[in-house]
Amino acid sequence: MLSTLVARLQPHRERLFMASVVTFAVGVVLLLVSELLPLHEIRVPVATLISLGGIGAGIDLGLQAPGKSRFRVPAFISSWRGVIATIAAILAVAPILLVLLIALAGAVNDPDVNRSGVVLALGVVIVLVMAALTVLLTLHSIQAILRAAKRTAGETDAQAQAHGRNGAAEGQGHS
Amino acid sequence: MDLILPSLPTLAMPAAPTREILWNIGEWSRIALIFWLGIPMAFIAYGLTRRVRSWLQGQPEDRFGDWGQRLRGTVVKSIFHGRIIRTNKRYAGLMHLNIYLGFIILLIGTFIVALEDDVVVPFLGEGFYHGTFYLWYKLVVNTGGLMVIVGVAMALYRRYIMRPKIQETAGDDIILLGFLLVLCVQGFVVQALRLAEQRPSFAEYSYVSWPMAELLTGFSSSTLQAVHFVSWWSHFLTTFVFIAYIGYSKMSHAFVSLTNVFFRRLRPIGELTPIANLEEAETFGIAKLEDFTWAQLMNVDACMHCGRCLEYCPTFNTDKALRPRDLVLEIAGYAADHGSIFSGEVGAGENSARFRWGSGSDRELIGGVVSPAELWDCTTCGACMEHCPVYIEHVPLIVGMRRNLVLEQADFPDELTPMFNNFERMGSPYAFPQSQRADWTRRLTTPIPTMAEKAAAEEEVEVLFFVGCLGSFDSRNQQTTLSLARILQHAGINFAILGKEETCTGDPAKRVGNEYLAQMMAQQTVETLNAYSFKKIVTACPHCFNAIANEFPEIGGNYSVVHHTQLINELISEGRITLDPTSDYARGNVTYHDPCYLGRYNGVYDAPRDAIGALPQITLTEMGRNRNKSFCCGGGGGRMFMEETTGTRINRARAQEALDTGASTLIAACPFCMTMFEDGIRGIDAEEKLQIKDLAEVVAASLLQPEAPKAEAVATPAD
Repeated sequence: MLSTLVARLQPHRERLFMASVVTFAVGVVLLLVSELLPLHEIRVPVATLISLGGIGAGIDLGLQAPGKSRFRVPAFISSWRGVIATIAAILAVAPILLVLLIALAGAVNDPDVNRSGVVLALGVVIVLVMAALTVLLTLHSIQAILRAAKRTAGETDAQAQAHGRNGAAEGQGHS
Repeated sequence: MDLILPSLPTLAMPAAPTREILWNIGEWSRIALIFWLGIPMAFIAYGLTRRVRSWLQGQPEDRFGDWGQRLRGTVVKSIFHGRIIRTNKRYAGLMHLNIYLGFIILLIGTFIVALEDDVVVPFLGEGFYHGTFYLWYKLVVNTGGLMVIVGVAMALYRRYIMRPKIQETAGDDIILLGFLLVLCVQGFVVQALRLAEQRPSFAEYSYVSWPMAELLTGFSSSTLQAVHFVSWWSHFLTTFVFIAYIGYSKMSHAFVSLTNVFFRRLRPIGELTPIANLEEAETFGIAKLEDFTWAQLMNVDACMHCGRCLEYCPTFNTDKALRPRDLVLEIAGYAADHGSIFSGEVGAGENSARFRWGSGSDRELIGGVVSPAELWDCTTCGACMEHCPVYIEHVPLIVGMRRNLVLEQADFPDELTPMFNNFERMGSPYAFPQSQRADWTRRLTTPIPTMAEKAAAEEEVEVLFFVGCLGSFDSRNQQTTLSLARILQHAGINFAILGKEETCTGDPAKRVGNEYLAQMMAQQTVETLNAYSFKKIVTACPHCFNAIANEFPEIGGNYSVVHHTQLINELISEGRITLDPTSDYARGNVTYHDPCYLGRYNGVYDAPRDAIGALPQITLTEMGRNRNKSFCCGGGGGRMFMEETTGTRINRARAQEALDTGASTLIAACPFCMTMFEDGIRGIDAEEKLQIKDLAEVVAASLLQPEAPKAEAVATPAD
């Protein structure tokens, strides 16, 4: 049933991709219209159009026969993906860690408002738990990201390069 | 910072509790939010479609129809966690429930805000996001976020402190937990910054953010707004990256596992799908990606390596090569390499269990990805399938690859050769001629008629006693056969046997992958059975029982079949046999072993226990692993005919478990188990402390007015 559906979709795939791009573009134009006029009533249809454009393009690319790809991930992204993902992880947690640190400093701050000691103590506990979990998981995640960027076990240099993975200098995997 | 921040006035608090949606964010941020929506949507659609496309490389398999049952099962077993939270899995189940429910609450909370801001207010002018609703909303959404954080903390505790031996931590697990935690902490931080800046009188309803906000109250408004703006953007971008990541990570289980549960096999797990048109088939079994069915490829993709399949697995627990989870992940890696799901994309790497073995599409499936040792280790006990929360079917995968080894490559353990030869020549796995099938009946004082004799005399038969190969030829199991015959005679049941017409059902051949022999044997048995008229079949062998009940209907054999424990229990409860309460034989502490093909495969757990309970002087002490958590004897899947050379012997591990209960008798209800435990008890030098008996032996020896003297009923194997 599914195979039949996919087979039927294949001849229309070029149209699906173009339709998705057009849908996305129309959504973007309407987005500007809705926010600048303003015409907030069309926000939901606009968001739907933009989402559908993305989904359509994703489905079209995903339906490509295994082993074939219309678009390839640029080599520099593949090569640097470990670094890129690590920087992204740090950027994601840096603001919250900063706020959590500020909050801890705020415990000894003396503002002009009345603050309950119990609530402050609870706040410190919450902040410490959140900070500890965030730091722990961020470090482990970065470790995992860097490991994931290495090539897989048994892979030759040629295969690694063909798959867009790092070269021979990287470590070997599990056996 | 003030230069880049929109110059929005601080919200003047209205009388009714509420908040300004997207406070401190500005119109351009809103435009960016909607504009970028297309990107994560494209990523997730690509990732998930790629998976579906990969599954479709498999062979067709009909998993369509019975939609109501499929939907009900998906809702009850997955969405309501029926198969995730189990009696012995409460911690892991509650951990998952926390994250799952919390995540759903946050998702609904986000939709409510979007509904207010983008639909209700633009169209109606006035929204609902205020007053009592708002206060409840804050309470519930804070609880949702807290549940996710608690769930993540529980997961970390389990992975790093508890470290159950079934658990394996891959990079993907940690990255996913990191995403969930950071998203929730970001949410609470953004909320706390807003509360600290606005200090509304109802802040305490946001009971997680409020204490954090209290810590932040001493800082200037501009500082709080600036940090809030940056934190909001960080939260928004992280959310989008997370959505994009879903299709390439373990998080895809929200879609893939649900799909797998929905399209689960609704047939009995004891039924192995036969190879259709065997005579015309050009390839046999599974040796490459295209040999799997689409449902099997979906199966392996749905594995989240939780390790529940390992918990009661006899091979994992006795240090064999086969670990069902790893086998599934090996195939998943193989499928990924061939399906272009992850090759060369983010996610591939040595740390991921899923792709540990996936390192090139040029490797052969059997030998290169999955080792033959793994395939031959399996006892087909079904513990993996029974406990998999997403209904992955490990046994058909293994038997599929065994079929290829046996039928195409003629590559199988040497010990199986005599078994195959015996099947062809003798109609059973043993080297006994068919003419000796009914020799055991000579030991009974009352003869047992054969179906042929009954048919010739034009007499009706109530029960056909299908004896089975072990019950016919093996001296130890003949005791069970004799005992059951005496019980049937004692109860006055009109029964007959097939005698020399009986052949093996083909079960051992089928489980080791010799589908050709299996179909031949099954067909022959069905033809024999169809030649006679009877009301029901009784058998003392769960393997015969399973084949007759679940596999014969496929080839035209539709019969009412019961296992002897069910019939014995029925006879006791109907008062057709009376047990001697003072029996010397049926007394003391016993334990009961659930045969896999009776319990897990066919759900018969209570009948044998009820029958044991009818013996007043017997105390039943359960082993730790019982019922659907029972531990295999090691004899199924053709393993009884093969050598066991690695790790602890499975039958000894189980015999030790029985011995540890303090019981003096281990009651079984399967000739395979009887044989394996005889050996297992000897192997742990416990013959003096523990004896193995079939339920029929215990009951027959306790009949109030036994037809035969007790001495005969408890005859030893040497008899």
